[in-house]
Amino acid sequence: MSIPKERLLKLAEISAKIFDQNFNPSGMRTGSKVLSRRLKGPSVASYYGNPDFIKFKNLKTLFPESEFIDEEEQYRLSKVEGLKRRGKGAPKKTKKGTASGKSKKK
Amino acid sequence: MGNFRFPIKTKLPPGFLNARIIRDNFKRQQAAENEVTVKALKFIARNSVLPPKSRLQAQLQLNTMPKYTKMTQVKNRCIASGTARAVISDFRLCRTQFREKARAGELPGVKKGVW
Repeated sequence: MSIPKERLLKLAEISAKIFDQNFNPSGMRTGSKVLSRRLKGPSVASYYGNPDFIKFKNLKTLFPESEFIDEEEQYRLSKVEGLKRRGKGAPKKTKKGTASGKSKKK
Repeated sequence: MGNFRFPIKTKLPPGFLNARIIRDNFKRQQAAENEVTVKALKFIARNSVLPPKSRLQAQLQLNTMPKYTKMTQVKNRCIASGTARAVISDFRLCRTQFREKARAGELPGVKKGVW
């Protein structure tokens, strides 16, 4: 004994209604594909982290009483000082207007 | 300092920065902000039940939106070096940075495979 197609369609419609699904027997393009996808905006936007994360340089303004030491910065400064002492530091800035390093190309 | 590189001002992310990371971050913020609009327009444009005129209008509006509002413009980059190639998305690191950090013990739960 076979079940008529109409009855099966009716069943599918009612089940779709109950389970909150799309009922689309003719296969029309209704754009539900676009809508049913999840929003991924928040996860995409927070990929590089929170921009309001406290930076080291802000610590002193937030807590003026206590002292903080940036070890990396201190290491860099000591290195620069050592270089300067041995005469290997960065060259001094040239004054404005006087001979620039490179000749201009035309 | 009045000029900003991109049409809409965005906050700079913490950590390593370079021009490409700043650009990608800008696109990410904009894509996230415009996601709902783009989706709604796309739904109207793809819905063959709606009248063709409104569908066309929606498609035109989609086309006039700037490129940085689209999700396809976003690219996963290494957060420690800015590289866009060989990025392990679970750690958001490129393969070399992943290796270095894993070896230094900075990634909890990551162990060198030995068998």
